[in-house]
Amino acid sequence: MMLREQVQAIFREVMEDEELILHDTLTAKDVANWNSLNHINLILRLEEEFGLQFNAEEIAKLANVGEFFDLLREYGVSEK
Amino acid sequence: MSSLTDYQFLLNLINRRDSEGTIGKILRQWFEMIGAKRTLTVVDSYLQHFSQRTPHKVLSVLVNLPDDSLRTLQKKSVLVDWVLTDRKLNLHFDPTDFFIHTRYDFLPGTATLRTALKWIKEHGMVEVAFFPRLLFFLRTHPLNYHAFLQLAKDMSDFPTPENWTKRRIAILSDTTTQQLVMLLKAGLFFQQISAEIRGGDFQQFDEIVLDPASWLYDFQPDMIILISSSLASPFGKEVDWVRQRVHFIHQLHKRLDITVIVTNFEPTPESGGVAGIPDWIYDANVLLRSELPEHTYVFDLSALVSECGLDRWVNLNYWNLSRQACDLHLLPKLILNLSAFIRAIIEPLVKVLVSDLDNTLWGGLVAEVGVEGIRIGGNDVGESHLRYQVFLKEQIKKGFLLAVCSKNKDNIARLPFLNNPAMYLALEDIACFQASFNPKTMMLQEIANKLNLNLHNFLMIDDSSHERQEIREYCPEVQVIPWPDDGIAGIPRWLNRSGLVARPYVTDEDKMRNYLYQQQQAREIAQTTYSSKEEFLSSLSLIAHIRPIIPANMDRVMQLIEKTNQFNVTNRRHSRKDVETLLSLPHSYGHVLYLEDKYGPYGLTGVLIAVPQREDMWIDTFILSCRIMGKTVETAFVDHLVQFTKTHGITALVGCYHPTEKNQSVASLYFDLGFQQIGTRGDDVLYRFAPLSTYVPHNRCIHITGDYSDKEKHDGTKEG
Repeated sequence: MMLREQVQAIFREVMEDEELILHDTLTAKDVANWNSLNHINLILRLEEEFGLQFNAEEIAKLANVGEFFDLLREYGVSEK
Repeated sequence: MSSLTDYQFLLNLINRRDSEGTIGKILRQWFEMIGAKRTLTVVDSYLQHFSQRTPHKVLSVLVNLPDDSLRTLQKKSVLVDWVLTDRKLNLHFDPTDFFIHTRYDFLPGTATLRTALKWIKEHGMVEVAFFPRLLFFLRTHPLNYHAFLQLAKDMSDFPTPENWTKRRIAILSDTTTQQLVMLLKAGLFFQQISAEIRGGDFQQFDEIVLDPASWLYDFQPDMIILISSSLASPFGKEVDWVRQRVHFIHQLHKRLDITVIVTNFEPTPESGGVAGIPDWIYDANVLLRSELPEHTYVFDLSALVSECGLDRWVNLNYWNLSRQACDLHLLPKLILNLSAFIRAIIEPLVKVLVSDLDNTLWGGLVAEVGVEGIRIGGNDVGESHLRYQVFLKEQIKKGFLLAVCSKNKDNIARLPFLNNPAMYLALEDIACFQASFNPKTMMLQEIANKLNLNLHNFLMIDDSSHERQEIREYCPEVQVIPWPDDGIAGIPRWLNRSGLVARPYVTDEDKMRNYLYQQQQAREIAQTTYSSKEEFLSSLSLIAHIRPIIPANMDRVMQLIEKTNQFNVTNRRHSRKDVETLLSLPHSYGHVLYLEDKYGPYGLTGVLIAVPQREDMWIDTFILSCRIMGKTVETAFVDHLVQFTKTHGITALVGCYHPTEKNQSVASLYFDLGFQQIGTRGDDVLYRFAPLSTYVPHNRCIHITGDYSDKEKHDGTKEG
């Protein structure tokens, strides 16, 4: 599975939206269920899925989907 | 890896903790890497060696294997069947399969659980037989956080059975409680409590309580949970902060006289090492134990943190970002414990611990190895059995009844209690002893009859998986402990951590309970030798001490009001404040009854409250504990009330019967006492006796002590 699909599946699960399509400029404003609670759940699921532990500074600056992917790439999560 | 054989490699793996199912994931990779056939050989030998000893670890391996590989292994272990059924159920949910499936010690997969709950919801089948079993597993196994969250969302509109306890719970906290509020509702559902939960924004809870217009007063909770994390303490001012908290709890108690649960202070992630735990946290927790008002219970959060490990408990990233005081992965565990704690405050689900004997209470089979051959203590496997006995004895002191259910000849099963000096438990500790070769389900029913308790209050501890499966299938309401990986040694820990044996408070009655039931059985044996009931009752030399309700007996009065279902004529679940208001009315009657006979005391077992209304005296609450039903105590109590009423110049007594599922036995109480039915009010049936001058006392078998004109009556109620 492509990284993008994998991350998209997690977004869909957490936001409870099976139609959700990710693009780099997508932000919390654009997605109905993307509230602070689900934001934490999302980061937690990503950490689990890829076996990572982000630090607070990194999490704090995540503004849109593109930056999620940037961060994952920084941690060496590759598009297999 | 190349220097190790496959098998050795696996051995190394399984000796690690495997809570996340790592072994399974690695095996799945092996399937891809070295081919299915070779991996299967490894799993096969793995199954042979470990499926009995460490079934949970084996499961984490099996759930990652493909269907066809499982089918090749099918004859090897019941676990393989379990995984295959679980998958099938997940695809096509079949309640019959599910019913059989839940015989095993393992929680079904999350997907299956969700399907099962959806099925129950759609069919409105909350009485379906596997439901109690499902709830039992759910309340004793912490789920994965995300799975729990999904389940909690599914269940937000689940229909709750009518007879479940309902509670409105407000959560005040200086940490984020959004997740906690969501999950707690589900956690309480697993404990058969239907809860409405509201949480306050963090940091502002002092204002919420001080402001009469805040959501708290609008919501009208009947329970408050106060969660104060050490992480939220102001640096350098911790001691003052703790004092303010305690002061705040007293304020809360004054304003809202309801049950309050307070978490104690947990060590912070900076604690530990040579520095240990900071003094202020130690002192704060001592203060909480000694300086709290009534109906305030301390939930031992710091014990939970040490159980989980300080390093795992809090992730500072999440604290700094969004004030999460507990790593969300551990939140399900907190919810499980908190829910069990709340359950125990309201009314515990488990009242009777039933233990098997051979290889449970002691090591070995007594019929084979003899009284001296069984293992208890002695620096070997017997040590776990000894510790288990000590643990059971502790539970008796907390108010649990202990019963024995064993497949043995009765006289042989009793021998170790009499003749083996290493035994810690004595026959007197066993409230009910059942040993025979009948099926255990029959023996359990027998115990329930003798103790006059419902099977759903029973918890069964048995080392035989065969017996456990049989009981789960034929007595689905009995709670059966899944056997821990480390056998009997793991039972006390499992029980404590599941919260099933939590007792936030212990009354004097609780401490005596187990022994009271034994006296009861002696009475029942005596009863069979008398020709009439009256003759038998007279032979008991019954004495009833009727005394006013005072603060010293109020806890027990409240316990009876909250928990009595059978002899509870009006079924009014008053709060303490309600009772105090009733007692403060002029000419009101509020008495308790202590019963004793030649076998010993029954303790405080009756409550009768009556208040004047217009010209008549109205019976508001009339409760007798089920222990003393059938002793004609009610006649003595009503005689006493009549006498009191007459001396206050009131000439008529009114009683009402509020029918419920469980109080049928008192339906004709007033009729039998010569009252006239005068009508109904809602569900209530009203009876009246007038004039009281024609009332003839009914009591013939009980000697009464206690003077109704007792002047101390109202003294204490002001301060309580």
